[in-house]
Amino acid sequence: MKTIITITGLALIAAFSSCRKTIDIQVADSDKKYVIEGNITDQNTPATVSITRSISLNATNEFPQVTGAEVNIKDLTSGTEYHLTENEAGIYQSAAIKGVPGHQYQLLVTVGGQQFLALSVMPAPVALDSAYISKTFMGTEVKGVFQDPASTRNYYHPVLYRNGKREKGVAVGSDEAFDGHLVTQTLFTVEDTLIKSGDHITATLESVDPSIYQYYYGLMNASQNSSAPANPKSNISGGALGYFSAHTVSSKELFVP
Amino acid sequence: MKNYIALFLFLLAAALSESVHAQSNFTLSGTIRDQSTGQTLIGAVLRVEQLPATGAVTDAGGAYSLTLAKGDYTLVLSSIGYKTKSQAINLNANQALDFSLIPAAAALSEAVVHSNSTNAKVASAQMGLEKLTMKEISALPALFGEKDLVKVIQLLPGVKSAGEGNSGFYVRGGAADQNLVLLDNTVVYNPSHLLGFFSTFNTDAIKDVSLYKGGMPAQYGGRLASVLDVKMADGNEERIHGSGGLGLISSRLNVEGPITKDKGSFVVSARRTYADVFAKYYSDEGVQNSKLYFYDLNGKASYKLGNRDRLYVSAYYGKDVMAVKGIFGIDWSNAIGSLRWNHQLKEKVYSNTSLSFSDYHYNVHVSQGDLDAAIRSGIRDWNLAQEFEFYTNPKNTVRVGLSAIHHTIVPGAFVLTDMDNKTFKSHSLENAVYISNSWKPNQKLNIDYGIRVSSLAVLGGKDMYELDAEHNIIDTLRYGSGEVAKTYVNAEPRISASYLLDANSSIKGSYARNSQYMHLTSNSTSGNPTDKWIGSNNIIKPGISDQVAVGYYHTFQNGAIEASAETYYKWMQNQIDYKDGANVLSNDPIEPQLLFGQGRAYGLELLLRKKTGKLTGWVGYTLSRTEQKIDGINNNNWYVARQDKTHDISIVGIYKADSKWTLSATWIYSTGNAVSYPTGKYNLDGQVQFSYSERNGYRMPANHRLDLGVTRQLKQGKNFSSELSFSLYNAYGRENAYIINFKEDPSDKSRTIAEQTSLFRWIPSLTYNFKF
Repeated sequence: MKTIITITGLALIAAFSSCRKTIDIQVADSDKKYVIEGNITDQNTPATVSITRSISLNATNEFPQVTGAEVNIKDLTSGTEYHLTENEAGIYQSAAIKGVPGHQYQLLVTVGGQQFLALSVMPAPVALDSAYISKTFMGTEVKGVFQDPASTRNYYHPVLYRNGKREKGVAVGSDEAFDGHLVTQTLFTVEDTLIKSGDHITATLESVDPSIYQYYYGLMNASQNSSAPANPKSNISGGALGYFSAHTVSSKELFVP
Repeated sequence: MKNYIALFLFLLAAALSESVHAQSNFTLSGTIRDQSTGQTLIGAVLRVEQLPATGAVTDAGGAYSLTLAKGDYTLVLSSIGYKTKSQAINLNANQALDFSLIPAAAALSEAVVHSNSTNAKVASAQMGLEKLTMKEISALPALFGEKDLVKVIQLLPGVKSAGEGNSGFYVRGGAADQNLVLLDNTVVYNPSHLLGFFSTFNTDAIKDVSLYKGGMPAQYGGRLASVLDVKMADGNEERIHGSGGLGLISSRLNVEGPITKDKGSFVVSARRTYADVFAKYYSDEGVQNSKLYFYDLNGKASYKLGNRDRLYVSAYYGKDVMAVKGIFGIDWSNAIGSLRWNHQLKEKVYSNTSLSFSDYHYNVHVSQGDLDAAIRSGIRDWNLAQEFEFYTNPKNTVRVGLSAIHHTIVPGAFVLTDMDNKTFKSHSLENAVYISNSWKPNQKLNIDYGIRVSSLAVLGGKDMYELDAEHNIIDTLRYGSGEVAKTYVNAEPRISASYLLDANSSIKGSYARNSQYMHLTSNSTSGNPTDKWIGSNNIIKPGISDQVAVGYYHTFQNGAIEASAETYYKWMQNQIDYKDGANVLSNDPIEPQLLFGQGRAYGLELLLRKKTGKLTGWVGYTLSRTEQKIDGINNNNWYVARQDKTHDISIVGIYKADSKWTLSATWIYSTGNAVSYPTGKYNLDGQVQFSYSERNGYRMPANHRLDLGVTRQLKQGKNFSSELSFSLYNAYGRENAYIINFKEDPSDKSRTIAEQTSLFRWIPSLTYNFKF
């Protein structure tokens, strides 16, 4: 929303004048923080936790994997515990789990003498009825049609895979503007130059818990153009970057016409 | 607080007891006007030649009152931009006497005008006050040729621009919402158009502008940082006049004239932009499909109901529309109306009664296929005010008043077109009583002192919350709609004093406490129309500021040049900030998303200003620091606020070469804003994200810019005159940083670069203005 306001306003300004150039800015080196991405879904797939470290802004994009961590997930509702093993450097996986909506899951990571703890409740699933592609002047939009459950607050995190690769960009939304309706929503907008005819698209609608919505909302909006950019509020305690999300998944396969 | 009141009552008793001794005195009262238009003059000075320390200054209605012992006097009347006039009188009874002055412009070829009133800044007790004339504002170069009084105010020391081309301003470390912006005594909640690039003030409709940076008189209240008091023009009482302009992005038309000759007048002004007309020709489809315009309407009428009464009606309506066809639209508008009755009760007593209305709201529409959603938000005030001015005796002028405001706030609710529209309005009553005295104990000392007691009663009807230490809601409090849920009372003492060292120099000191009950929450860099006004409640405490200032003033060359130095220190309590990643466009309670803390600001302001002659203008310099300490930010340590700019220089010059050509130039330099840059990066969901370690730990590059203007008088006649005005904004094409973004290096995708976006370079504009 804010983005659209900015686009509209800036379009006019751009029509008159605006110019961009690269400038040299030196920033202090920051602490190398742990970055934890933890996901458990209702899809009968392994729960996966990847652990990396942040690097300084001036460095090249090589993000060190963190090996040798002790990673466990516990279903606090049923009491079942799952141990995650390091299948690849920095990537920890369980056996296939079919997560249960309504259950609360706990992630515990122990690494380098530090402990990180996170909680996430898997929300009720919302099915993506259909998805289609529509070209507008904003770019190529992937639209999804789904029935939003009435009188509960639902949070959605759309994810797009193009030819098997996760598309860049962050999208997240709540049902505040369409509670209880059968809606057609733009899930993702991709620049026209990045997409071509015949591309295989997987449009995924994740139902996430409020803390994950908060996290991605912060990632989108507390980023550079806000007056006070900051790290999004993580649901992981202990000072790590990243998130732990128990979510449900519904997806549709498409081909770009 | 008790001590303040005791001191105040003592001084007031002293003021009133002096009047007992004044027995064989008579009072002279009336108005001072512009001879050609009949408009009343604010701040015109009336002096008594035989008594150098005695005089009077006209108030906002152009009225004066002066009490003198029986005798013969010569009165000297002056006002900036007018020829000085002398008149002999014999005073042996209370007398009503109106004066009119001839504008200096009409007399320009005869002599360079010297005005004694320029000494007023040295002599008056008021400090932190800056005044601008519409002539100065009109003569200066402007972005896109849109003359804007707020942009000129930003050139004064102690006032900072909210950003390139932005009409938001910060005064002495205060936030943009801490300025009380008044148009004919009525609050304007969003004084900006088009994402803040223009202000709501159409120069044609404005008569007078005053900015109080500190030491506010007791009649003003409700904001912490400043008072921008804008008065609309009254209209010509003699005959019908018109004026207007054709500009690069907008056109204006102004019509004024008598309702009944010498009894009443009206003025109507309109302005509209037409950038959207050009947008159709722009190649980009996004621009073609967008709607983007604003307009303003100003109207004012005044009518004399006999010798002692005058009625004023003022109105303003301004609207912005911004939309992308079929997807999204936003519009916002300010509507203001006021009715004021000015009544002279006795020779020395004036009464002002006013009822005013102010409404600001915005609507956002989003189309989502066959479903439409809207967000509506706004604030609406009804204000009843009464004030009495007592010109008790030559040494004391007492002002007493009260004000009651009823606020209604709709805090941005999502509404579905097919849903029952739930409303989340909140109501509150903001009341104030004040009393103040301008006291001249002797020829050298002037003291203005007063006290304002303000209060806020938060009315029930909307849910209130109780939060735990982590700002989570632990309880919901419900009150009936007539019930008072929470009350705040604040006593705000104000004092400002000057001491004349000699005829040309003075020192001044002031102290003022202000409180603020209405707050604007904003988390965007530039002012956004969707910023929300929220009222104080059980969780959001009223903001309080205490400011102490001292200054030295000097005039040279018979008052033609004035120099001043002021320093200030300000403490601010109960400042509000957003939590990181707060979502403002939501129906969820906002309280859990807010953080609270304190602020402090201090600085030195130097100003050298030349007010008369062929060359006029000023040089201003500000050295300042503004810091905040907010619970939950930067480990609860003090840090520099975003609006902190260490150095700020402005040079403003207007050169009237001859009767045809006027040249003008402004140059500014300021330290860049404090910003938060990323200090690290990490990989998340397969893409690079930036990490931040500290709020406002870095600085944007410094800003500087030169603007040039030329005005050529085309025709100058009694019935028609016209001029052509050319502006060149950013004449040497400085690329000032508007935004700095960190992004992937296009030539090496594994590295990060900083990219600066700058907006306006070499923007020329041409405006044709006419008068008839």
